[in-house]
Amino acid sequence: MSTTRSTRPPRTLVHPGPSPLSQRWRAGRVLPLVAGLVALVTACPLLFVALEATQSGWDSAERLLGRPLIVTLLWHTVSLAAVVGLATLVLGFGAAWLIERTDLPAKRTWTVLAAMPLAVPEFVHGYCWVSLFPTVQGFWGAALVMTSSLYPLVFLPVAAVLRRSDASTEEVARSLGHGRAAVLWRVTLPQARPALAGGALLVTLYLLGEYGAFAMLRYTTFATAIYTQFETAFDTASASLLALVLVALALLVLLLEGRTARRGGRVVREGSTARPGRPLPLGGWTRPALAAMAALVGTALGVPVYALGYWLVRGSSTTLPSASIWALTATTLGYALTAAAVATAAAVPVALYAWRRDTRLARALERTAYLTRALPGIAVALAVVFFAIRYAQPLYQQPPLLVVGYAVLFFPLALTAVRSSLAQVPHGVEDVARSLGTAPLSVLRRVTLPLILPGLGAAFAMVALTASTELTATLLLAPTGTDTLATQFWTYTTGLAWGAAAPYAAVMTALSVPAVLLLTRRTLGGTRIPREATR
Amino acid sequence: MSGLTVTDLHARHGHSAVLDGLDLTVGDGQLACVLGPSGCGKSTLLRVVAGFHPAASGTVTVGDRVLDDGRRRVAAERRRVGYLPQDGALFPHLTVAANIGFGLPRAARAERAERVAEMLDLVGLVGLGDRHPHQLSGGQQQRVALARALAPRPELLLLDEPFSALDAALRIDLRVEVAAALRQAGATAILVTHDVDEALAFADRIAVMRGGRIAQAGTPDELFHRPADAKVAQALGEANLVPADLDGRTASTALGTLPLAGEPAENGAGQVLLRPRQLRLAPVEEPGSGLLVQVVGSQFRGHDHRVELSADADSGLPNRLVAYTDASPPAPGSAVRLTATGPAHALSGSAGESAGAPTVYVSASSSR
Amino acid sequence: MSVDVRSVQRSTVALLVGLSALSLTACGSSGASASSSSSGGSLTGQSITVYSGQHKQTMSALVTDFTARTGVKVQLRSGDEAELANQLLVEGPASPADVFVAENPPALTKLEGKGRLAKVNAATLAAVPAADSAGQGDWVGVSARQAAFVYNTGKLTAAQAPASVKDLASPAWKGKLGVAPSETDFTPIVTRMIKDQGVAATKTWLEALKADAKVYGSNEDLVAAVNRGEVSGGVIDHYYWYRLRDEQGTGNVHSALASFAKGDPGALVDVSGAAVLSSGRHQAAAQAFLAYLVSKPAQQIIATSESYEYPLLAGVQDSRLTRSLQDSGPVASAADLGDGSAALQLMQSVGLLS
Repeated sequence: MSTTRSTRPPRTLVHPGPSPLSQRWRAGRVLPLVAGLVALVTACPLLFVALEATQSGWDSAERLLGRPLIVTLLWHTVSLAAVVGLATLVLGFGAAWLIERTDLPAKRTWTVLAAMPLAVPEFVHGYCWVSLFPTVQGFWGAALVMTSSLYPLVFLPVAAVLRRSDASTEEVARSLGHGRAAVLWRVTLPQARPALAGGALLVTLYLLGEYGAFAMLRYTTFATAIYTQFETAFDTASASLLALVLVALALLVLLLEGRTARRGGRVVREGSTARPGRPLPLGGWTRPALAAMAALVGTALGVPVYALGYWLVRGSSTTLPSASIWALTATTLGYALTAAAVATAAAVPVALYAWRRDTRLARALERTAYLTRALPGIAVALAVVFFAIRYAQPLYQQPPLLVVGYAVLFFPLALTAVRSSLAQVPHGVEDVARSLGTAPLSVLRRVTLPLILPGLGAAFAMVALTASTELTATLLLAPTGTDTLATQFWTYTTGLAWGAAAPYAAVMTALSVPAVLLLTRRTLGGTRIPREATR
Repeated sequence: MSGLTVTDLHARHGHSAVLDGLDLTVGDGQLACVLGPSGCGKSTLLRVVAGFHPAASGTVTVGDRVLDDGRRRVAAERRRVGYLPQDGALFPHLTVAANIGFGLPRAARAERAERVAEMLDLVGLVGLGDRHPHQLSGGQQQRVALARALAPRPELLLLDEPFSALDAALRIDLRVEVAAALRQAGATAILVTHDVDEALAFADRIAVMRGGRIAQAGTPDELFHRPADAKVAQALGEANLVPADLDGRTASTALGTLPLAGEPAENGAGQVLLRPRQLRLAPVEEPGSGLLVQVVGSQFRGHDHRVELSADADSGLPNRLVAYTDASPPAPGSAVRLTATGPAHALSGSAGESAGAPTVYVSASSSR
Repeated sequence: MSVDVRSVQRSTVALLVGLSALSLTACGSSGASASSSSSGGSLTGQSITVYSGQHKQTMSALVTDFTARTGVKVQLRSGDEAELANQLLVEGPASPADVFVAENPPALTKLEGKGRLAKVNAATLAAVPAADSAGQGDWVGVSARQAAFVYNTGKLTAAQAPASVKDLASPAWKGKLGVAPSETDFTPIVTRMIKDQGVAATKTWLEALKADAKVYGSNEDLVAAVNRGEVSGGVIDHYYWYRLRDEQGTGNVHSALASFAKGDPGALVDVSGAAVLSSGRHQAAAQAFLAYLVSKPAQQIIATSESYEYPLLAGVQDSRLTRSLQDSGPVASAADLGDGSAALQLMQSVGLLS
């Protein structure tokens, strides 16, 4: 301890207990280590795609990438991402603003209804639209279906920010002579910018890698080309090469998001001192606003609910679901909940590290996790197959592997939720807690985790929701013989037995309802301040 | 024994040096203030002392415990150094009482409750223990933060511009209250600020910081009247820096020969400090000596007038001077007769900073 | 969950009584020459893993029956043919799979090309016509499907159905025709076209399809679109229509099947085959499973299942199918179909496929 030989004076060196000095170093290094490890695991798919791509010959690369069609497909992908991104921003922000900033009647109900499309799996969305409105196809069809199923990803975080942020800045702006529209544009919108950017990021990344819903809607994107290489040509190498193009696109999106979110900065006054403002009276606009909300919810939620009902009643293969549906439900829930817990727990160190140290490395770690989201599901699942069978053979096709697969696949969702709730934590609370004599782990337990509890809940709900309807990775990674609701639904629909499939879709949707409720609650917060028992 | 001694402290953010050989001593029970412009490294100094930022080299000692010697450091939670940041950083999920009791041993319930009550009383928030932070005003939040920092009886308390987020009236009240509470608690404390009024009102000792080191430290009175150089003089308030010919006990200036407050470092051409209160204005027609200058503008401040004056380029005075007068000044544009009252203070290194600015230790023995 | 619950219950008694005694020799009595693979020892109690891209309900029934007859337990991994093929390729020799059952030859041919398949026992290969299996005996044909033209009965009459797939290149079909080129079922038709007509003519034909046809993501989507009249007709495998008929109920069927003329590239019959993975650790049991698949009981299960595929064993007929396999023309040989890469690249080059 006192080995330092400085020429300067310190007097006697008295330290209580054994080496308190070293402790700090350990604590300081564990977090980056854990965060790095998590990032490494979630980056596995990227590594796999890169490895496989090197196996692809120059010839096939040239043949595949040199086609004029590739340009068309890229354009399809980018234009759809742009249109859907913009549409979800407008709808998500619009709904959030109406609910959080005006005197719209029945706000609670609208909040839940507006978030509810999340409960409907994407392939069910696609299937419902196609079976009810066969003309919903191509670019605008895809844009419509994707927008109506994805806008809650923007709505929820924006509503959360609007609810927590201080309305007084808006009042100040009014007092400075700005009209409502100007306040909306110049004050409210910038406040919500990080949330808007985060939501748009998830939407866009999702669109880059999506395939199934587009196939149903007869819309081809760059991911279609990747699937062709995987599924028609059985050519993993070429498929991976194409997937790298998606990764590059995703990088671009991340860069854009980073800039936008950063400009928003941390100026929003939140947490302990924010107070709600008076809701804006809609007056004569109440009816149009209600009509708009009804149209949104009717489109996004009504169509799938109606289509499911139709097939439940009309499909001739509909049978009363056998007892096995409950066993499948239990299996599905077990995997989804475990994966949600794992993904949430894994997101905490990464988000925490990036939040504490705003360094380039920390940010890079966080960003890597998002890249995976842009990869088609089959690439992620095959990556897990690749690494598991080589380096974790005993786990291969065992239950933990499917959990890991889900966690890798949906890590970005968990990370987003944890990250946005960390952003609400006043800076300095951890420092203060330590200066009050609390060790780092205790600080985590007593201060940081309780403060981000809403985010943890949201992350958990979001992953559970998505994992319970996942198909591709489930087919590839589940233990042999294990079925989930999604795989059973798939089995029936590929056999054209829509009636028989409908109960499974209905149960999946019903299962998701509590998760969406929890998500809505956690994201928006029932009370403004989380309860805490410590006295 | 809980005085703070900082010796030759260096600290970095990435590759840029933020603290550059800083020395500082604060005696046991003193309220000291580190005054400096933003970006001078004063917050980093606090963070190094608190244990949130590592020292690159140098030593930080509280009492006789070495907290950081540039290689090894005591963990922040073991330093017994309290910290009160700008925004208070209350734990939003805890009640006021739980916030205050946060740093107290969890086992001893009764003692804890007693101490919390004591602290609530100290900061004048009796009866608000069950509230949540968002139910308090900004000033109340800062008081809770102070109570929370003081509750575990830290050996040293660090306050990082704790009043800057508050409105002016509240700021003045609160800093007086906080100073009183700290004195009552017998705490050794360091306040960091860029606000000179705050520093003067709060502290027994002030250390002026710039460029990662302490330029000068002493009592408020010392620093105000006998700053080591022009920049320190300006840091403590408005200053008229008048060229002078120094000769032992007197200084010859354009405003006449003035007695010097102390021996100058060197005789010859130099510079003296005249505070605005030392300048007197008289009507031109009034008989007497004095230099003719022009009134540029004035401002009534309730207790006095602040007058800006301009002198001719060849008058031997800086072209802009500031005087505070009790009587109403003539209208802008009119000429006045300017005199000065001594004693003047000779500033060292007037031609340019001498290498290695002098470091003055604030020590317990030289105050009180 | 690998086994259909009801079937298990039905066969539980048989299982309990006969299981321990049943070995492959017992199986041989069922008429197929399945016994040859056995090295004499009982396979009872062994367990094999089957990756199946085939119709799940049918496979479950087959597996249950197999287990009841042999005592070999089967871990059935049902999934998408293409995904399973990818999984096998990525897994490499460490794969837990013993058997792979595909829907179309290209996936098997791809694995064969990578040296991943073990030779099928000669007796098993002998059970079905030689043309129905791999040329080198790497996999055996189990069932067959026929490419056909499905048309909406409100928009076309049987007489208006094209005699040849080549006719679909006519501009008259613009906007009225549907295809699902990303389906593994479509590639063999193009492969046949290339073989019959040459690359240049096939390319012209594909370009016409690209210009005129609506492209669907799957045969399921396509047959449903034809049935509701979104397009007048489309090229599918026959069984999709039968499955659609079952689901919609006869009253809601507005479509019918027509066949292409014998000898036309569109009148393609191709097989669904099964193979033993060379890396499998239960070679004998795996071979026994293949032998079972071409045995009479298995073929009868196929002939009565909801998969509506043609059984390949002589003497077993699916009476529900209006057209017999014999009328459909010769089965396209695996050697002719290859792994489909030439067809695929041609489709990609004209942009019919992404």
